[in-house]
Amino acid sequence: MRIQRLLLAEDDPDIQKVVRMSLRVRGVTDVLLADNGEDCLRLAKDKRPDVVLLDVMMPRMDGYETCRRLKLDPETRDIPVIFLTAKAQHFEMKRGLDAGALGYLIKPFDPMTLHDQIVAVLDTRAEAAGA
Amino acid sequence: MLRFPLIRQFLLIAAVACLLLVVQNAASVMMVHADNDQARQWITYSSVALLVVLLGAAFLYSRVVSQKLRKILRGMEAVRRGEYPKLLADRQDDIGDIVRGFNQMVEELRARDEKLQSWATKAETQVEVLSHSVQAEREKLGTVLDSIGEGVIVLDSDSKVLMANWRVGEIFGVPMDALRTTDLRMLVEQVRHRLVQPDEVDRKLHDLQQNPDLMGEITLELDEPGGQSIRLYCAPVRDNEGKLLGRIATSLDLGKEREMERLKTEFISTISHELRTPLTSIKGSLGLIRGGAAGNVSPDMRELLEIAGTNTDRLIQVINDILDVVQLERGQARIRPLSMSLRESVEHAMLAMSSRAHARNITVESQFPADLPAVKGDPKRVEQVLVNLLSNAIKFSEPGQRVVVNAKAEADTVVLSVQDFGCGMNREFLSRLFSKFEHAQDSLTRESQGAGLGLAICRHIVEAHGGQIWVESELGKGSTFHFSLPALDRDRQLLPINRRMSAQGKLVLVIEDDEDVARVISYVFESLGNRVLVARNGSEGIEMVKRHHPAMLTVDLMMPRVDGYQVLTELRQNPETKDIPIICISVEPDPREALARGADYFIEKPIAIEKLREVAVKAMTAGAGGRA
Repeated sequence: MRIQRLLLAEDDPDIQKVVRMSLRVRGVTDVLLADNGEDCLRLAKDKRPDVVLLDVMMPRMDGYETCRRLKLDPETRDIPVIFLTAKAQHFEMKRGLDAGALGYLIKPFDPMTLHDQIVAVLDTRAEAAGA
Repeated sequence: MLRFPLIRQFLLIAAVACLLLVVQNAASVMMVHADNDQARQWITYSSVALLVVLLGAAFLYSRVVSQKLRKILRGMEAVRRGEYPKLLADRQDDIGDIVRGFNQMVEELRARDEKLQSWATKAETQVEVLSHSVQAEREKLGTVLDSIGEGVIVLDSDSKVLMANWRVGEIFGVPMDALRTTDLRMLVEQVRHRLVQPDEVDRKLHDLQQNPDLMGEITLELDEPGGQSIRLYCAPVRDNEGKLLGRIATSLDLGKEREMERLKTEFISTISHELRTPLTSIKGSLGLIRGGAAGNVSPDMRELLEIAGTNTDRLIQVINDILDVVQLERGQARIRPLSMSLRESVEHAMLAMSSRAHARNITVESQFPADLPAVKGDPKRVEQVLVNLLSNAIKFSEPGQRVVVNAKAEADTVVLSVQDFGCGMNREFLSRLFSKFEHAQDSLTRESQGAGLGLAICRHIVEAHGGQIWVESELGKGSTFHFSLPALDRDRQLLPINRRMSAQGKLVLVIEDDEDVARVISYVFESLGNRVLVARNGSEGIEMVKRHHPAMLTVDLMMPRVDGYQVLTELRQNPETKDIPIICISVEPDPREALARGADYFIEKPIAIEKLREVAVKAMTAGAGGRA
């Protein structure tokens, strides 16, 4: 799957830069940024990205709640959500996947393979849909 | 003094009586022969007078004796009342002897009573002292019990409460004064209406009552806000002869335990998050610079970036290990046992460690019996244990030494052993080897890396499989780590899924001097279900091809000393390696020379991952001879 537009919900500006650069190297230049869950919901509705990359610990609304709301809204529920978070315990992963996320990537990530990991998750969904 | 005993007095009276009878008889004879009435009359009168005198004497005598005996009887009555009378002993006869004997007996009785009284007083004093002492000890014990945050109940053999601390009163809502008049069942009755599972509690109480030896737990799950949950641990108390004296029950507030567990989880989660977040920026930035995203990198810069990258990865590994050990301790780690081949896991682990072993010039060998049974285990976790043990074995071996992996069936288990011939460990360290945060400080190699969690993780993983882990070691001679896993019955060997995985996974060798590029290439092949081995230069690559016989390889053309072209030439000239599919990856824009030397595919740097994946799939299906 080719990613045209990606929405990154991440409150850490350094990680925002690293993710943007990792994706730009791989040809994904249309990266939308949200500093918190509420902005993420708004941008997802307005801009319809191909995928939402979601942090868990964000101000105002955390990633789990953001994901749950994205999946409840008919306008955004089909947008695949992948967590990119430092919350690495099994129960935290389960919570993310239970909220409706398609995948769960753990920080720190390898910037050279981040794009491929996102694509691999999206391909999994495409294969499942095809099957 | 003349003594006149009673028997003699009787004899005297009897003699007088006999004399009188003789006189009487003589008088009778005389009267028969008397010739006149006057004589007969005198004889009659004298006989009567004698008889009267005799009777009077007998009467007087019996009266005197009777008076004396009554005095003695009164004396005995007085003794019975607790008095000590002294009778007048004025007679020198048997009665006098009895009175004196009586007086002596009364004196002895008085002395004995006084002695007894003295003893009784002493005993009372001692009892009082002991009683005070017992009371003081009881108060001390009460203070100790009250200082304990959890409930403690001392029960007798009928489960009646002998002692209990304040917490027991608080748990069951019973005033302290009332606790001593209650028993365990009555205490439970106090909270029955709040019990979530009253039947289960009744069953446990019944079991405890029926079986005095039982050391049981009763969990009182109380249905109330906050979900208070108390667990009572009951243990029997016996005397020296084994007779049951009672029980001691201690409580544990599971709510507090759960709260501690929650705080621990929160702490671990927060620490992990707060460490991972800056490390994400560091690792990401380093990776992007090393990957060329910020322009060309000089060799010196690359070396420094390598150092920073390696140490960042070490930090990340420490965090991962901490999370792993916490989750394993809680039993929350994902362990999915299935029928698995240990041979495959060992091969995977050896491959994963081959670069490190090669870098230290250590040879890793494996020895397997042909009929080794499969085991029940989680392949990833078993591999994690093996990688950990191999990593240690390599770390603590001297260059040129070997590390041996053995496997053998023992009873209903399979035992795997990883043996090194390095520095070994002393006995003192062996005892705490599998504890957390322990690592060997090897004075010979000066190597000591990691947080000391690796072996603790191994222990948890092996134990979660139902196996055991242990070590034999001798200082200066090396160490052998063993671990056992449950073997499967012969008729339940290897599920089809395992064979399928085996058929799909191929070994791919990546010959690449740039670590980041090697990682990207490895990722692509691994994501396609293959195992990857990395060689850091051309000569290492050629050697690894001969040793591991990979199904396919990628080679960088620009490498120091032996470059990719030389690798191509040598491999294509060797009959054993000439058919292995080779993908060349290079910054060189012209693929012609590489293809001329025998490369099957060519990919230009920077690598387009989709392109590499596409070529990889094609190479694996078409084999050698394809062109791209």
